[in-house]
Amino acid sequence: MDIQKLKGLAHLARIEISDSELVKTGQEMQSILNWVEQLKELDTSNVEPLLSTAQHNLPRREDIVKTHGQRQAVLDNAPDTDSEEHFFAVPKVVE
Amino acid sequence: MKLFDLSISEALQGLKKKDFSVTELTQAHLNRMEAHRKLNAYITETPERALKDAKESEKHYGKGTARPLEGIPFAHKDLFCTKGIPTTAGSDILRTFVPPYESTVSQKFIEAGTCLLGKVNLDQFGMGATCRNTVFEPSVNPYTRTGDPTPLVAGGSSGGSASAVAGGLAMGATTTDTGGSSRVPASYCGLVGLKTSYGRLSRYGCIAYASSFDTPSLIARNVKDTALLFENSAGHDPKDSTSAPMDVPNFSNNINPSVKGLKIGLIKEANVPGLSAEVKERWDHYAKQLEDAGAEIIEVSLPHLPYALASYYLLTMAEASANLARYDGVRYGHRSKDAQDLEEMYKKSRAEGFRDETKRRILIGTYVLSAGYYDAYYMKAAKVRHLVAQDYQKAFEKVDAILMPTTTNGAFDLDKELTPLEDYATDIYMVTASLAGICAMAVPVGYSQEGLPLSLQIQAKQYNEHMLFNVGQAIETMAPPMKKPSEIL
Repeated sequence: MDIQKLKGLAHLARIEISDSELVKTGQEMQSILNWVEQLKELDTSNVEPLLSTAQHNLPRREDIVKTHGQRQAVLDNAPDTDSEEHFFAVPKVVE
Repeated sequence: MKLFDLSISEALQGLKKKDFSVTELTQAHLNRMEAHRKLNAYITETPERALKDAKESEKHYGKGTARPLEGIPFAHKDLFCTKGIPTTAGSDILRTFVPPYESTVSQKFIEAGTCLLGKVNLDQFGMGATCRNTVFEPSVNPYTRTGDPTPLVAGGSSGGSASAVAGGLAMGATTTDTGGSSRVPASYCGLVGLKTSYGRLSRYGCIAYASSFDTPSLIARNVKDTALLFENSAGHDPKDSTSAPMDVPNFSNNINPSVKGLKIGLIKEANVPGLSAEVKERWDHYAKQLEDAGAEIIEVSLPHLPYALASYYLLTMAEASANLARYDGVRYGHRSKDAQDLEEMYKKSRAEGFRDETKRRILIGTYVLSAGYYDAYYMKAAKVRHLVAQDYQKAFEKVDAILMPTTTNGAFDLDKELTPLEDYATDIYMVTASLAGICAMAVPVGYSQEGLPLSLQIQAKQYNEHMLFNVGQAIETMAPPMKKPSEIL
């Protein structure tokens, strides 16, 4: 797989890949992509895709907002919060 | 009598008759866990919780209000969110994650009266067939070859579930089965491994890998125990929009092992070159036994089986790339210490938090969903998925159940290296059922010359789990008894 293409994919997937890993990762991905080429042997021109095997006409529930009242438990899992522990904190995004 | 050797139904009898207490039963398992930590079955042990649950169960027995699995020491695959108990998915990215809520399946096991021993190991996010794609030490198979102590894989992804249940470190465990994760480890560890029909058990609170394939599932030491666990965890859940509103009758008391008049299919494409002579021999042998017991054996065809692996891996990688996009280091999970800005934070956190196999799947998934490749890869694979589902539809017009191998061989050396494609090939008999959303179950059928468990797989139409239990118990009755945990190690 082309290194520039792989860098583009890694950016889309938001995964850092070091230059030293790029070649090996590219080769492994290419061998998998070569392997799936076998699907082209099948004529699927008149076949609908199957995207789910869930039962049809499943019941739906009302779309109602509920409060779980667990703000603190949720924030406890955050890697970083503001000093008053009210919000998630991330690196500064605006100057 | 060793308490950890008992089956679930035997333990329930013993508890009812007061032969032993729930605390004694639970403590026997906690001791066993401590003595066999080398199996790396557990990621998180919860002894205090287990003993607290045990006291609660004793009250229920005392008041005569015992629930269906009252006092059964139990383990959850570490993909099920358990309130207040770390849930890692076998990953660094969730190593410190403590869910503020309970998954529907684990909640049902609380309500059924089980005692939680802890959370068990897995290939991270369910991605693997050996339990080596975990950030913890890989789970080890309690079995070794006769006279050869070389450690063997437990199978995956639910390797911790299988290692614990085979070794007597739990009486049963939850698993998930996206493309064989319940059946492969059951095969290697001599257990019954159920893959439930898509939609039978709620996915709410079960960490997602590939949402249109993921089926919360179960492992136990015999068919009846598996049915007991199934009837206490299946059912419609409004919190999972793909959950099926199907009745959940009492399966365990209604198993009918008479196969007289049943039509059982053998899939001719399953006779692949890699199938070991010993597994092939068992397959032929039990087909003949079922025929002698009155079943009609019919050869059926799944013409697209040779293409199933490629279709399965493309689709699950695509779904994984979307599902795992949520791990961004913002709200929970690992955040890189070295990031200067937001984009770097995402990229470094994810690079540090996922293992190589997980990254590979995300990257390929991203590729096959990207503009220009979507039709050639993703849609093509989804069309082939339809062909596989149609193959099954035709097969089930002729037969009630299908009998085939679970894995081509028994367990292999823990340090045997496999390329990604060799690893994927383990799932050859697994993924057709996953593509079609049907149910399947691995059943042990004795041991190889080397002394390792061998397994056959039964498959049935979606929501026809009762058929798996019927045929499974028939085979279980014909097969030699499997070793009890104390006879294994």
